[in-house]
Amino acid sequence: MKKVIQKLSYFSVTAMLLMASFISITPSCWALHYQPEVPKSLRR
Amino acid sequence: MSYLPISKRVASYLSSQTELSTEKEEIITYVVEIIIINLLNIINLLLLGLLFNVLPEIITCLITVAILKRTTGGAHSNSPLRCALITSVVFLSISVAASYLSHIKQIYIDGMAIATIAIGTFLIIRLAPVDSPSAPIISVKRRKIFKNLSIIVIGIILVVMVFLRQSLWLYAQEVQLTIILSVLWVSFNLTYFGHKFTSQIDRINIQRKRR
Repeated sequence: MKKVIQKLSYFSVTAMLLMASFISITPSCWALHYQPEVPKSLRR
Repeated sequence: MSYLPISKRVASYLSSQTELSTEKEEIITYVVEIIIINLLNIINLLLLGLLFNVLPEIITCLITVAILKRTTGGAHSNSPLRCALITSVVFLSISVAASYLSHIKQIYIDGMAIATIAIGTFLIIRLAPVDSPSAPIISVKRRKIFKNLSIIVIGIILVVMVFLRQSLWLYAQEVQLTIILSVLWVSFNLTYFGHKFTSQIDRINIQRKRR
C-alpha cells in the first residue's frame, strides 16, 4: 500500500511540475479573477 | 508567499513522499492552489448555470473568458473568495442577459458583434498583455508573444461568431450574445476602469473585515 501511495505521489508531482511549466507561460489564472503568486523560479 | 492552508498541506505531503526540494515544493503549492480554486469556481458556476437555467450560456462564458484572458491578462482580485464572488456575479449576469437578449433581431446582434470585436481588438493592441504584481511578465519577447496570441484569439472568436451567424443551432443566438458580453468583460478588465472596479470591490470587503 505504501509503495502504491508513493508511486501515486511521484506521478502527481511529475504531472504538477509539467502543469506548472504550462501555467507559468500565461500572465493570469484561468478564467477567474484571482492570481496566486507565481513562484520566482517560474517567472519569465 | 501566501497560499491557502490546504494547498500548503497537500504540497507538504507530496514533498515528504517524494523528497522534493523547497523550490519544487513551492511550485507544487502554486499548482495545487490553481487546481483547487479553478475547480471550485467551475463547479460553482456550473451549479449556478443549472439553477438559473443558463447552462449553455455559462459554459460559453467560461470558455471564452478562459481562452481570451489567458493571453490578454487583466485586473485581478486579491483574494480567492472575492474572485469567486466577482466570477459568479459577472458570469451569471452575462449569461442571464444573453438569455434575455437572444430574442432581439439578428441585425442588432451583428451590430453588437462588430462593435465588440472592434473594441476588443483596439484594447488588445493598445494594452495587452496586462500582467499583475503576482505574475509579472518580465521578458519583452514574452510580451510580444502574448500580444500576438491575443490578436489570434480575437480572430478565432470572430470566425466562431461568423460560423454561429450561419448556424441553425437552437442556442446560436444565446451563444453569440454570451461571447459578445464575455469579450466586452475581458476588454473592460484590461482598462484602468477595470482595475479601479476590481480594487473597489477589494476595498469594500477589506472595510467589512475590519469592522
